[in-house]
Amino acid sequence: MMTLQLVNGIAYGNLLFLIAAGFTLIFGILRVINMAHGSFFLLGAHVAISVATATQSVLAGLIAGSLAAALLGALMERVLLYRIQGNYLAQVIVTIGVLMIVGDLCQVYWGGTPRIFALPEHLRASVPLGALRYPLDRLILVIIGPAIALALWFVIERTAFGAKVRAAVDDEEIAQAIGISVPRLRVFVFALGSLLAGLAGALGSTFIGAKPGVDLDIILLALVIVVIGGPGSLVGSYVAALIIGLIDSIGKSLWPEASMFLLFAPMLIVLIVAPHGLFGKPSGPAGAVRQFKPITISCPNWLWSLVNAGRQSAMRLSWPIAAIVALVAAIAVPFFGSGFSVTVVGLMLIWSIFAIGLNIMLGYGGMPSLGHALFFGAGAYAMAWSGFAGLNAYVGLLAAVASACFAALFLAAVALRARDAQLLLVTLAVAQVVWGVVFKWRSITGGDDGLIHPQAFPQISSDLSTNFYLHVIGAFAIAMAAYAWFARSNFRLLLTGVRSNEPRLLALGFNVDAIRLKAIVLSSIFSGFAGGLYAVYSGFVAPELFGVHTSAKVLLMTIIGMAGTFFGPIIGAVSIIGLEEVFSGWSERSNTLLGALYIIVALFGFGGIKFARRQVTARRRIPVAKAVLP
Amino acid sequence: MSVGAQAAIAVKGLKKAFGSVDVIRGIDISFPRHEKHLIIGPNGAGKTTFFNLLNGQYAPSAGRIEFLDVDVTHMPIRQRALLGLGRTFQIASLFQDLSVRDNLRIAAGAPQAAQRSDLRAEENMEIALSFCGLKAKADGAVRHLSYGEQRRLEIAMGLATAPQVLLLDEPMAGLTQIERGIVAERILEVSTATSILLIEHDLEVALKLADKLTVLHLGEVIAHGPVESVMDDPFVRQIYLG
Repeated sequence: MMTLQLVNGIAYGNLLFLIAAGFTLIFGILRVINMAHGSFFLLGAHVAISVATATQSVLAGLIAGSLAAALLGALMERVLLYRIQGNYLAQVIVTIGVLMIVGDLCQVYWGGTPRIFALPEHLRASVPLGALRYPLDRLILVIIGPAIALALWFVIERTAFGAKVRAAVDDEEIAQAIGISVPRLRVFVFALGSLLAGLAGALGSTFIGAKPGVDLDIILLALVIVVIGGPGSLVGSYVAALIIGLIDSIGKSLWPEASMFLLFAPMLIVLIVAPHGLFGKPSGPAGAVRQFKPITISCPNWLWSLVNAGRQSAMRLSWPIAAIVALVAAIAVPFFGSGFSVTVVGLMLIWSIFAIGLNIMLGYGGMPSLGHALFFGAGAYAMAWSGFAGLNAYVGLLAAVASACFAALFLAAVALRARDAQLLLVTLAVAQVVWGVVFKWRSITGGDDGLIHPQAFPQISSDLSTNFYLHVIGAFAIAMAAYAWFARSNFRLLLTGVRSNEPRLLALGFNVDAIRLKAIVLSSIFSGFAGGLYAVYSGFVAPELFGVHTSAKVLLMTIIGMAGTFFGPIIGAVSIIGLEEVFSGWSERSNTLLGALYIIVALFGFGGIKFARRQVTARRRIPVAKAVLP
Repeated sequence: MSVGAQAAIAVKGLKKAFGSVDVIRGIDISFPRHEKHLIIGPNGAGKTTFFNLLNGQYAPSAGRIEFLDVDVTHMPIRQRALLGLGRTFQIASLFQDLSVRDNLRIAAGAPQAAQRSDLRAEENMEIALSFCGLKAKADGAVRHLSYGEQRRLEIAMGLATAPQVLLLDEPMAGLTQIERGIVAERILEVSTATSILLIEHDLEVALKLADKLTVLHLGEVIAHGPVESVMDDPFVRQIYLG
């Protein structure tokens, strides 16, 4: 029995390596955290199954699946990511958008039921393994995995092409100057990474199959492996993939309840012991300089001046006036609006508080987080438990804040030393660990069913929804006051100093780690507070609150509103929640619309798309002499 | 064992190698307090590396560094700053997103400044602001300042932390003649309570500032002492002045 688990684990580990190799290739060479990597796997699996079924040729299926993924990857790089090179935040948002669109469209085209490819009879072979027989199609993975690892290593380290790629990564301008076509190289590397994911999808179609949600599972697995092995290290990926494959297959048979936790626990240990992974090297000081290649859209003069006027007035607006106007408008909602609008505005305010929390870390401190759902979820569950304990909801809010602070200390213990893209990976990883625990620890958290809890705010208004709404307004006012106090504090200044020039702050005698820790805790207070409110709002908490979708959404809100500005997170939260409501009213494909929105906003927000004033055609000719002489 | 009593900075047997390249090849020197020391040497003499060792940016390969009679050889950068060791950088290292005032406010708010100065942080900030002569541009972002203004701010920030010893790494590099004069005047104004170590290429201006002169060549001290006697040293003239 144990032998079977062992072989199973090794075969699975090799498949995981194919997935992770593509991810680490793209991250290591192009510095892109490709959240859409799982989509390539999904697409590869779907196409492979369809083509193999139609042509009755497994080989054709494999090729078609790999190529489809490669094509999508190449397109994504050339059309979208190339515009925002060097900006990992924008890239994360764009690739999350692609993840949502591809997942949604696959569901439209191939349906929501899991598809698993049944091998034709003549290919169904198996080899004896002790008393049992082991299917050959899985055993083949044990040969394909190492072969691909060797081939990749050879291409990158030993060929002229690999040298060109490395040169292009090192300094794009110089590489261009000596005649290397960098855009083409980037596309090629991206296509190669995607091809591997597609191939993995095709090879796994006989036992993992293609189903909605598998794309997210895959990206999480790839993430675990890359973090353990060390970002950018192929050897590390291989070793880590084998470890995870074995842990998964043996753990599932010995201790099924803990399987999710068993996957993420090794990652957590590695992050604490060796922050750069088993085989990773600490990344150099500064990555490539931002090189934007914007899509330029010429726009008529009136649109230009309109956009400009909006920008100008936003800058001149004094914030106390804006806050009062917003508050009055918000209070007026229950008297004029319907129950629906009350709900939506309440939700907007809750998400605003959540996004304010992230803005403190990301906007002011320059510390990105793709695990902020950790604080939100911690707050929400604390609120739910306070309800079961029969505590007042106000006490519940305090518990939510305390629980988020606790989560923040936990996160800081692992993430304090990480920076930039590495920090993004680490925060995501930590949030996923907690998500895994919550998902599986049924007796405390209700597992994937979540908890329906009785917690509600004390009655100050007879109408239930108005009562809740008034409390949210009050909470929002408190949060805004605290936020304003923070924005004017000396601490905010130091935090901006960390973002702006950390080495100098250190040389001036400041304890930078302590400042970063404070920022994480302060950020968690806002986000946990929002989580507590959200739990009362929905009357229900579920593991998804800890999920990557929650983190991505709040990250997007913070970025849309231009991280680092005072009102940014509120503008971001209001527009995203508003658009979500609009889209879900419009069509069932709201995920596709939202994904597209994410992409467009990230491109616009980071200068990937630029408006250019249309040339004034009839320019009056001025004689040169007259223009120069007085 | 103390290398030298009442020394601002004293080093013994200090060595630093990068791989097989010896950049600092055994320096024994002591800089007395309350003086302005000029360190000169041709390119590649190891001047900036020497500063980076003193300040804790690099760990020495061998030897010992004492700061005000405290052994700081293995102390991290921040601890040395807290003891009162300030420095400026060859390439201005400012908080580009913040205003001039906020830059100085951060520096004046450093923990060691509060310990050592009787004035409040806000008062120290104002003093530093008038020192660098940027009052008119105090609320503008640093990235809009000219190069020369940034250099002045850089020095003012170093001083705003009320350091015991300030390391100035080429404060006049890349400035015009007039700007150099302004910076030199500012450095002369610094009270002797702060000992200064200065690296500078422009001897004409720098020699007027310094009390003592040290010549580095290929990672070794070849002359050290009062300015006149060092400048008369034939070996120094041969190597450095040609």
